[in-house]
Amino acid sequence: METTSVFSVLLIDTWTGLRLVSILMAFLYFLFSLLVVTEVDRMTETVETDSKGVLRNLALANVALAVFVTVLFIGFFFDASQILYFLHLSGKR
Amino acid sequence: MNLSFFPALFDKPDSVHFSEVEDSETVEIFLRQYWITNLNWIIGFLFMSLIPVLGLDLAWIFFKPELRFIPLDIIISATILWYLLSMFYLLQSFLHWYFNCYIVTNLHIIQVHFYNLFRREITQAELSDIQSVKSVQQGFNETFLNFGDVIMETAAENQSVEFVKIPDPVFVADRIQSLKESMKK
Repeated sequence: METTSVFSVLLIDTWTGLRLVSILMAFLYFLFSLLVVTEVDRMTETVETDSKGVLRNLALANVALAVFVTVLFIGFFFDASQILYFLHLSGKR
Repeated sequence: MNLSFFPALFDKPDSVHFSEVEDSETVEIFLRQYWITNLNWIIGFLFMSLIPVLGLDLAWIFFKPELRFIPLDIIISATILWYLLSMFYLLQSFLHWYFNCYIVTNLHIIQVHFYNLFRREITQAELSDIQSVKSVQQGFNETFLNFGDVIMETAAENQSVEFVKIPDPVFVADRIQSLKESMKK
């Protein structure tokens, strides 16, 4: 029986598909890091302690890490011409 | 035995404030779970951190021909993603410990339950409603390291407030009892 990769249905090869999934995962981590900042703010308002500032700074450092990884992945996997090529492909479909 | 990195018992803390306290209310004890309860996730995180290092070495030994077909950027990105997952686990576990706290004021007992980023619960009981206070320490670890539970029965039927795995439960139970008695006077 012949098997079809999910990525071949989307007209992209498996490695490109995995690269896109990696970027998506990094973006999801970025959303999670924003959620951490919101929750830290909310909880430190409820229970205020000495380490409020330290915790917020750590949460912000985590956001910076998430942004860095997302940008790194985009830059790592695709150069601008490839991104334009994908946009062009999706426009055609 | 106490680690200053994970402080869990604050007696009459000046720097702790709870948003929903009354004007005349002061925080008497602020508690978190004992530091040893963090060992599980710390070991889990260390184990997760080692997996890519060991895993890649082992994979290189056993699956060298197959690995050659995988582009290097995919291997690097998978490793970075694994470390992000480890960070997610670390943060979630730390915040769970940090925000799960118990507060005893001169008027109330407050339980802050931080289950995860999407669910938290704050329970308050009046000190005057507390019927009985008991401390429970069971097993070698709890006896040896002096941590355990404090269970308080309230006036409401079938309702109890529990401080789970807190340091020095006997001291905490005594303090709650004496606060309760000083309220009656």
